Amino acid sequence: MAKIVVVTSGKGGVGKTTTSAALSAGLATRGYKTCVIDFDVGLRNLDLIMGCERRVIYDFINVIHGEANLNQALIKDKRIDNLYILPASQTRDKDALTTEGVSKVLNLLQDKFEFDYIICDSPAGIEKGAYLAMHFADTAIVVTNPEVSSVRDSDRILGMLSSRTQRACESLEPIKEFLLLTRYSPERVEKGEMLSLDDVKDILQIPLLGVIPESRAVLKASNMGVPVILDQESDAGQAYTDAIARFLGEDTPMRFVDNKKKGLLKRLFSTRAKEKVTT
Amino acid sequence: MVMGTITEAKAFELKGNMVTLPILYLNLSDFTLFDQQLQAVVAQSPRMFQQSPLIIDLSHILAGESIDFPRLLRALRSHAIVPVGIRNGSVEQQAAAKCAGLGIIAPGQGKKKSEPKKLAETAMIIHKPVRSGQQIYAKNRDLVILGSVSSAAEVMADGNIMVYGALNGKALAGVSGNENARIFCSVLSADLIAVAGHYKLRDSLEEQVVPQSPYGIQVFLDKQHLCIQKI
Repeated sequence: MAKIVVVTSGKGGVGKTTTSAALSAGLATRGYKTCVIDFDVGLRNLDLIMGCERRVIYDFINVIHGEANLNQALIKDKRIDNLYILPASQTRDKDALTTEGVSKVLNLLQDKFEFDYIICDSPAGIEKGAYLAMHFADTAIVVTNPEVSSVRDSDRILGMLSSRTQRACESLEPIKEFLLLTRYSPERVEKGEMLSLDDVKDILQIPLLGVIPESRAVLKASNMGVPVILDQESDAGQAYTDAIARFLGEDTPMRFVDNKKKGLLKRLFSTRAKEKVTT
Repeated sequence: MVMGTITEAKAFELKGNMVTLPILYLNLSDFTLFDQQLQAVVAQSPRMFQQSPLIIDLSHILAGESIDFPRLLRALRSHAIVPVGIRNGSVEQQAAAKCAGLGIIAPGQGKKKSEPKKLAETAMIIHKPVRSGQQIYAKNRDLVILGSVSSAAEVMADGNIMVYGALNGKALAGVSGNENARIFCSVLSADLIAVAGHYKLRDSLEEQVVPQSPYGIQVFLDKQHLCIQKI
């Protein structure tokens, strides 16, 4: 039975789609048959990040409305076996999503297509799109940036996860919640410009899946239509790989959370430079 | 021959509407102090009382006491107030009011004096942190939260509130008037705390030094003042 995972945050622009792309690509690379669904109807982005925008013919809404079948709408990734994308509609809005329709599609993906993981890329906000993306989930990954508004919105989303999802409504085993802290910059935390990992953990009080450092590789990968996890040279790509290992229950040390200690030479040079300024 | 029916225009319609009327709670059946005090009240906002209908409430008057309604009406009308009826009077008082041309407002329409409700025996226990945007109300009972209350979350109880974690949101204990209710928490940095309607906001909490204690903080009412103490 496929595990349904929602990637959510409340706030926009924190890295939900980047994370959905990385998570699905990572799980598929590990050999799990994975489908990633874009719930952001009307603001379709996932296809761009996954680099399959030219191959979208039918979409999620077409399947819900019975205008196409899932076989026609699912796009098979060209780089990774086992990875499929179900794009959102760009011409409709969130009202085109219905609880029954989403349930029907998820059931088909689980039973007929036998996926191992279904990743639901939630839109921002707490309205219908976000609500339906989380409603059937078994696991939630809450993507948060180290700043106060993102943390508060994540807190709000966690409240919804524990009260309005199917698991909550039917008093089943509660949904598993994980924190993924993205765009983290240890230098700025040290300067006091950014909330620290401990601050965020203190407020949200859920297990930490990983910390993704602020990285130029993310924007570059997005623009090229390649999930950043495939760029294993980059710190963000490695951090996502670690996060997926933890998601699968492996014990991996947390990287990219401490400010890099400067080497002896660099330190000598920087104190020299400072002395020069003061004299 | 069939008579043609003529539809008559409706002369009126009868509807029940909620309106807000001022209510005068009579405390003394003796009127020696009444005129002077009424004069003072009307002088504060004369326009508010101009031709304003008013209901006289007798719940503070003993059933056996007789009231000089003509005297009361003269006093009120001299300030252009229009008394329309009484409520919560005894049978004799109602009869006297009827003689004076006042209406009788049926009992039960007035708010009964609210006694603090008896609390249920078991507390409501919340096993998770209360998140931003969530509201929890423990009706007629205590509320125990095993976790923090996030900022912009609200917890309310008719009884006490106990937070085993940081209280960052709003906490209102004794919301139906229990002045003995208390708030307990491990760390206090609330947006608002209130006991039986007496409240303090974050600003005023920041002004005073909120004590810190390894055993936690309690908030309670002492002579209508909200006190914050370490346990």
